[in-house]
Amino acid sequence: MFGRRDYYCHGLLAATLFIAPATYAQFAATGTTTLSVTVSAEAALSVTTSTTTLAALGTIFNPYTGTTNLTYKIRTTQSTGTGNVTLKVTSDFSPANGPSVTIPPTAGDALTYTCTATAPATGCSSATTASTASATSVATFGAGASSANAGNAASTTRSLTNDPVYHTGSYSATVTYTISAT
Amino acid sequence: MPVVVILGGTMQIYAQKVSPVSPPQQQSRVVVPSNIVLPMAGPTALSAISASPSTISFTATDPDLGSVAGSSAATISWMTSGGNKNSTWTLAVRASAASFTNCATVPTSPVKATCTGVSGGSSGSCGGPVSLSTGAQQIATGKESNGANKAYSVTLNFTLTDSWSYIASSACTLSLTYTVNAP
Repeated sequence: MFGRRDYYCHGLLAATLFIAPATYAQFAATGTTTLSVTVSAEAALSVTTSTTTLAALGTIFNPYTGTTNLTYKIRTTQSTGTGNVTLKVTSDFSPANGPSVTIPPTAGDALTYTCTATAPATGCSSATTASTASATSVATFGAGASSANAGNAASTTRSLTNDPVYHTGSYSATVTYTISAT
Repeated sequence: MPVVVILGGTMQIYAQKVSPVSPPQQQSRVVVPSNIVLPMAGPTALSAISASPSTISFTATDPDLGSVAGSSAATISWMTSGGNKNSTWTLAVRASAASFTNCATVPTSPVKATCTGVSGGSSGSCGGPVSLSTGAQQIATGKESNGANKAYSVTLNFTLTDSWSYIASSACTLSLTYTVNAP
């Protein structure tokens, strides 16, 4: 009987040896998806100074000046894209007998502006005369330009001739800013 | 010499005495017939995983709108054989790169994958939404089915958070890899 018990003992050992490989490595398989994104060129503009008051400071008959602040958002196409910000006087000064962009009371009277713009914009490089007939450049953008998500800053500082022929009073005009991107 | 034979799944052990007396130190020999499959807790066999559709597209037209939904949901499907109802499978997703190909300004992380449904097996459940990364992230899990050719599927929705910082391009692509682990 001793021998028979011993055989059982060996049998249990054998079983253990066969069970051990049951801890197999996991099988894994993979699949794939391709995500495709078309990022369109886009631009947006906010005029943060909704009303800009032009005021004459210092010496008598110094020009009336004032600054309008903008926040722009833009992304242009890689390699080929462009963008720009322009302004146009869409409503001339009123009432009459004051300054006028369309028909200056005196030759040389003008509403001009200079620009500042943070990168990636490039602001206008010199004083520019605003017009009611056509839009004029405030800033330009090259290919592959992108702004911060919260937008980037730009501004225009305007200067209006202080002509003695203007009648006293308050005059207002509307300037429209436009931004575009490709 | 004693012969020990292990038969089938019952783990019955038969000893056959082939010599009148065997010394205790003598080793046993194990013989397993080749036509007998031991019912050991072996690995689950997985089919290939399919993802449909193969391409999901986003059109990002206005970052101020926030998120953009993918063109369709993705259905990830696979089959198992030899599964164990007590074993847990997992599905993980990972991106091939930290940003979209051809669009270095579009990172992977603004793409969010959300599991919306699990079928097959039992106790299937979705994990929470994950922002894609190059590391595998589990997105769904469940219990396996016993038997052969058991189908499973997981439905995923994708959204992309648009941003002004992305440079415009129509050629941005990103490959996602799904991995199923089934023990």
